[in-house]
Amino acid sequence: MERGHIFNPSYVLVTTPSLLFDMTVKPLEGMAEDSVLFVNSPKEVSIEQLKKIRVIYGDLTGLALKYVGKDILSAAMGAVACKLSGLISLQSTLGAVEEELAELGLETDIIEKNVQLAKECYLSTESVGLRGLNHKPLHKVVEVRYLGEKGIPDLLSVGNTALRKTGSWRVFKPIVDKNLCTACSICYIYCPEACISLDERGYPVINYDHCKGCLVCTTECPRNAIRVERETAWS
Amino acid sequence: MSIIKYKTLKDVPKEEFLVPGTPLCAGCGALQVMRLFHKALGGDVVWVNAAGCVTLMATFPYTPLKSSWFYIAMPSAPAGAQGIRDALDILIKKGKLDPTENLKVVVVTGDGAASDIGLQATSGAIHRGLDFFYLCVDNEAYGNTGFQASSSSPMGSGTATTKPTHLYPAGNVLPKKDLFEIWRSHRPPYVATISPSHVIDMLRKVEKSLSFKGPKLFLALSPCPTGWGAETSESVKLAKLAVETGIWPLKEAVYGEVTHTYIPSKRKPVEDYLKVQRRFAHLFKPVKNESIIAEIQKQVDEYWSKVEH
Repeated sequence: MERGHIFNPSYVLVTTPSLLFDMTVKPLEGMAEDSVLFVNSPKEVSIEQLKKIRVIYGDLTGLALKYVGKDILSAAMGAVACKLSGLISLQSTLGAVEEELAELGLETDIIEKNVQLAKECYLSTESVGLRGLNHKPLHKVVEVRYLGEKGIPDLLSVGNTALRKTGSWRVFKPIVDKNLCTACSICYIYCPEACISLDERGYPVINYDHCKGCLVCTTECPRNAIRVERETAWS
Repeated sequence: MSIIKYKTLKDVPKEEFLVPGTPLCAGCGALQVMRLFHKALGGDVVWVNAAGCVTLMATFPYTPLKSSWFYIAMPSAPAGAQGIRDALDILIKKGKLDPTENLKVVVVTGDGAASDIGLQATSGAIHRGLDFFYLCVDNEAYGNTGFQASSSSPMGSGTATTKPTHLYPAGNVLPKKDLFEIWRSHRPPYVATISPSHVIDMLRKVEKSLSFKGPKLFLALSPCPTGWGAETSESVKLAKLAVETGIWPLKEAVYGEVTHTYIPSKRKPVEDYLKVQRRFAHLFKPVKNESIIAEIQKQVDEYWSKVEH
């Protein structure tokens, strides 16, 4: 398999729609008018750049939770890529999923769940055939853009990762129940990301722009005052 | 000297020096350690980082730090710290830098740089009595490159390079290098082990170390959800279990004199810690490997038999 920089992709598969807004990732760069974008999202995303290209949506996270019980997307995304191309059969796709996961030493039932997941993803995605054959020549130079205050390449910047909204990583969202919370501050102390601050009365406030959804707070809360919900706001 | 600054969790400093938005994994134990460690150190810090997971924290052009950051190759973080310390000292001496703008020089590396690749430079810096801090965030393998074994990986753990096989059912057969003792053998002013689960213990140790001039070295257990194979939400729980089972003793050594800062009243069986991590799953499935689990328990018991009396 060939790996490396792909400057003019025929297909782009995006695991979370929040990447579409990321100034440094720029997943749409190099896409031609006939290339196809697949976005893992339960609903459509409206941004200007998406109007010119063909976009296909699928809720792979939902399917992964249904089949595997976890938000692990590799088999699902692989199956979608195979189907989009129209070149790879269902049988070959599922064979590859089984083979690659077996190499990782996973247990048989986990592999079987992933195969089922890949099958549903394959069957529920439409094939668009080979794309992007009229591409311009490869870029020779990778352009470095100065991004203004959205992330200035400046060695003297401090604390500017706050510009990156890692809240988009979240699959499950912790929610504090104010009635059960005793303002003990344990969640604030154990949050690895400094995403929990305390209000003037000592109650926790979660920064959902950046909370990655690790749920350490939920596990550590001695009162079980932090419940969990599937995240949808970002998609 | 009595340390009274940190008594309860309410005393944890509120100011944050690490803002959110880093690309580090959700539930990263190293990030959790650094956040709390930084609170106790205060803001006047320059971090000197050897290549590792933590390097990704400050991926150009972004940094989560409100303090300074210097990135250096894996073998040479303590040498970099020497350069920065010397530069600061000279600038202050020449009157070019106001002494109020002095910085604490803090090396942060993973266990690979600390135990393997950078050990020589560390030994040199401690030997020279360099006035610096060293924080090793120990996730017990080379996490950044795909969790290959380091000399800090514990016996019985599976890593990318010590997969359990029929010839080596334990996975890693080599013992975890005792970095605390290696550091302590240099008789530096201060060496301590810390755990992100025992926050007051950690803050008190940092506070205590501030009174010493010379090398102040910290070995922090850093649960790694990705490499250890546990839920991100279990990070603190795993650190707590490591302490409660006696696998990760909390201790300090002042000029070589060891004191245990926390002795579990009744140690939990090591099995409680091992069975919740994928890297030890081969010790339980498909058949339970009693002899290796017993060997790990024996090593822990032997360690504590020298402490508890």
